[in-house]
Amino acid sequence: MLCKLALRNAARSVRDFAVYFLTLAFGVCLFYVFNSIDAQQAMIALNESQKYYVEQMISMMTYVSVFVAIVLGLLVVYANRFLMKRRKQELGLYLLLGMERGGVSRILIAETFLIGLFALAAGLTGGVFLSQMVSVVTARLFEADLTSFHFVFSPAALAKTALCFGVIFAVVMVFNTATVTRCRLTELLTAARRNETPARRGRLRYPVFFLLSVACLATAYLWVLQTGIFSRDLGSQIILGCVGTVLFFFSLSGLLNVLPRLFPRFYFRGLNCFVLRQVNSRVNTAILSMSVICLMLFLTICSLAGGMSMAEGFSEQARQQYPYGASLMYTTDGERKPALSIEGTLRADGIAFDELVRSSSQMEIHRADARFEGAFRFFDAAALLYEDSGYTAEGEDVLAASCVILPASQYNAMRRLANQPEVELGEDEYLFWVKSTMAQDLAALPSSGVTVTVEGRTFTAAGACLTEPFTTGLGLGHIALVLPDAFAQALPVSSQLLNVQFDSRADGDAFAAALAAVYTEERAETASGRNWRPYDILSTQTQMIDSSVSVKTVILFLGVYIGLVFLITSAAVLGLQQLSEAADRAESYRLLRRLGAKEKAVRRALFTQITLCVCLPLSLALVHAAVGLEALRRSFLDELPIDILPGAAATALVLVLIYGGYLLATCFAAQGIIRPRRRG
Amino acid sequence: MEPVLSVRNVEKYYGSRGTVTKAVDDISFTVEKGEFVGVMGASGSGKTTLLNCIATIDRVSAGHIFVGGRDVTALGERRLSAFRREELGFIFQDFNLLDTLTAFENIALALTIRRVPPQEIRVRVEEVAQRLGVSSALPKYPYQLSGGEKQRVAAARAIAGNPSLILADEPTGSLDSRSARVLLESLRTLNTVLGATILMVTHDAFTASYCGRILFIKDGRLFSELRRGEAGRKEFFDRIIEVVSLLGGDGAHAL
Repeated sequence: MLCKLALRNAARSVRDFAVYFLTLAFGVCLFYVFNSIDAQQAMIALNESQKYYVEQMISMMTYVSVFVAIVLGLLVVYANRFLMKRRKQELGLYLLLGMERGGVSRILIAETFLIGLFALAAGLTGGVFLSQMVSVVTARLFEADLTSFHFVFSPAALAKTALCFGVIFAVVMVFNTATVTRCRLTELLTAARRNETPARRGRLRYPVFFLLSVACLATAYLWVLQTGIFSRDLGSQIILGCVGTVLFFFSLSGLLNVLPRLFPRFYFRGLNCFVLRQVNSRVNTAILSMSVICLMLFLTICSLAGGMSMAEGFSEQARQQYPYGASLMYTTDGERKPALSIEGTLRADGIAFDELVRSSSQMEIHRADARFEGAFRFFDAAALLYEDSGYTAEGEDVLAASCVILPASQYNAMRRLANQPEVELGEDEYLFWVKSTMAQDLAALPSSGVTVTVEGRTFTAAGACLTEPFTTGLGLGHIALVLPDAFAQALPVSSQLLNVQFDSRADGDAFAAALAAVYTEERAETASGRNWRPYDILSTQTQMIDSSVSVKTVILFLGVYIGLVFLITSAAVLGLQQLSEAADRAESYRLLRRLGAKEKAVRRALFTQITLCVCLPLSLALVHAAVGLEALRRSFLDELPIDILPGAAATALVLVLIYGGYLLATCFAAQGIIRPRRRG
Repeated sequence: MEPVLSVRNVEKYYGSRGTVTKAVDDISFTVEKGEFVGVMGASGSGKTTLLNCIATIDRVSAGHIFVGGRDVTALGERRLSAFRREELGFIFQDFNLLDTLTAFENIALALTIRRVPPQEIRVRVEEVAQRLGVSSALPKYPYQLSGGEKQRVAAARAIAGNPSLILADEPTGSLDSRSARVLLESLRTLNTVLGATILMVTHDAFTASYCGRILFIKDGRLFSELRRGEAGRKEFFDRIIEVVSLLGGDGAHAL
């Protein structure tokens, strides 16, 4: 009997249950996918250094996962509360008809259990399939080998999800039972007619809470800006931010009450007073859900903008680090004098050079001992950095090093090849080149005033440090000297470098394939010594970018993906809330019409109300996100220069499209709900 | 002088071909300025439908309704809201106060919709509230008010915009007898002191006895008309009961 009643109830208020069910299933699905990410990454072949990054990422995920669990828990409790409120009258009726409280509780528990079970099943099914799709898309993104594709199922994620939602459902059951057993009958029966929450809880308290919330948020902001996002304090900072957010919406509901006294002219114009009161009532009853949605939006914006900005930063870094389509290097030593240029040998061996390569340039790399004298700090820093790489400090401001020497004209040819401006070098001048990752430490130091002595000749600095790489992915030491041609070319050649540019990525791949086809293993065995091919090392841009960007792209991808899911969830929840609100308030709008408000004014009132309700959490989320992104930028400052703006712009676009789309859809649907029913 | 309300041969059908219900069947009457007219009839007699047509909430099937000389049946949707705003005030059985707004704001809403300048609003709201004895209720929310107070706030809202015609649909329907009496006294004061024109639909003889003239409706047709003249309320009440018992059916309920 009870079970039948529970089922029939569910069928009767199917629309309300649908909201609840969808919220639950969405939450379960999201949670599973989120937690199965570490199982997915097994699909992508990773090398040791990449694994390190992924481990770091997963440890960060654990934090985020806890946060997500709390957020989802609150969301479910909220959705349940929303449902309970709409059904209080029905429950009251059971009690009035003589059903025992225990019986009513059992109905509720049965309902919660059934819905929970179905939602869990539906959500997990959705989650398992969604995570496959995510895996496939990720693999595509890296052009990973899909032959190793297998169906990923993460029992750990399943257990985590089931446990987490089990706890949430238990809380919901306790909550519902408490509602039934502790509520007075009259409250249940009049619930529908009750104004949701009396908006007066002492006027003095609101400003106090407002200040408290500002204090909480300011502390959290400043703290996270100081420590960055990788500190141990991140948890405390998040909690502080959450508390601040809830307090903010709590105090906001009180501040809206003061508005009529502050701006009577605005307040008592047209339907303004109605709209503001509606919004106030919304905020008042939905403090918790607004806070949760605000935090979800915050996470969304950070994930999207942060992910995109980091990816942009990485690819920008990659482009700068690997300026040439391919670099080939041939190391010479005493016996191996270069007879031909690398390019010439390649042509002679039958490589279709002209078809594949757009432009190329060769440089002879010399090596000599150099003595740096001058500004103390420069040598100090350099010596510290390269202590174990053969540099020796002689006294306080003298550094001796075996150094790569580049002839100026050939170096400039390389710069032209990479579309970089040429450098100018006088007869007795040198330019100092330093590997770009070290540049931040050295760039600030004065290079003028430092003299270099090579083979008894002394040069002075012609300008600031050069940092642009002159190879794609080849290690030629941390520092190099660019010296005048006449002098440099007299020095012994240590290696030859050929840089080539391609028209397209396909040409680059074809070039690498052509080389592999000509210079085969057999050729290596039959040829004498190392002279079987005109280069020792080949390094292509494709290869370098692929390996360096892959892990970082995982971060980007996850960021965008998590962001989008959160965005859609919060937008959907907000939209559904507004719709049910409109349905509840249809009578109010009918009344406005009867009082003679114009149809246009009524519609505008509805739109304004929805827009305000939807934008309130968004605006606080934007402030949160601005701080969060700045903290992110600062955290990566040393490793990666991130420009947040393009990512933020793209995020704004996504927000406008998705969030705005939901807003519009909600507005039109709500308008349909409150539309006057024409009779006769 | 031109009547405030003139109803001419109004008909209202419901249903499709074959099963047509005539809710209002060829009714004509006029209401002069300053009159307090009651419309009585049993449930289903068509009195609320008639009121809805006059209120422009419903459209007539045939006939014309003139308010202040204007044919409201010929007005388009856009003109109608302006008409409602300028000419009509409503009091409903279930009060229809907005529960997110305080009593003050509920009354003020009728004024802000009429684009009354914000600086005038406070004075005018307090004035009508005082007239209806609900000054102390102004800062409260509807759920904090008793039924009687709510209905008087609704009445205040109805008269706040100085409408030419106040339409009341079973205003005492949800009130106990004491609250009903207080409300009806207020309406009579509005009528006699301020000269407000009121058209009230009711099935309750006691409520009707506060009116100056009563139209009885049976099965969608005008059954009879009763004028109070110089009679006292008690005497008028007895005469109403007589007609009601003639109408049949609803008399026992009214008593």
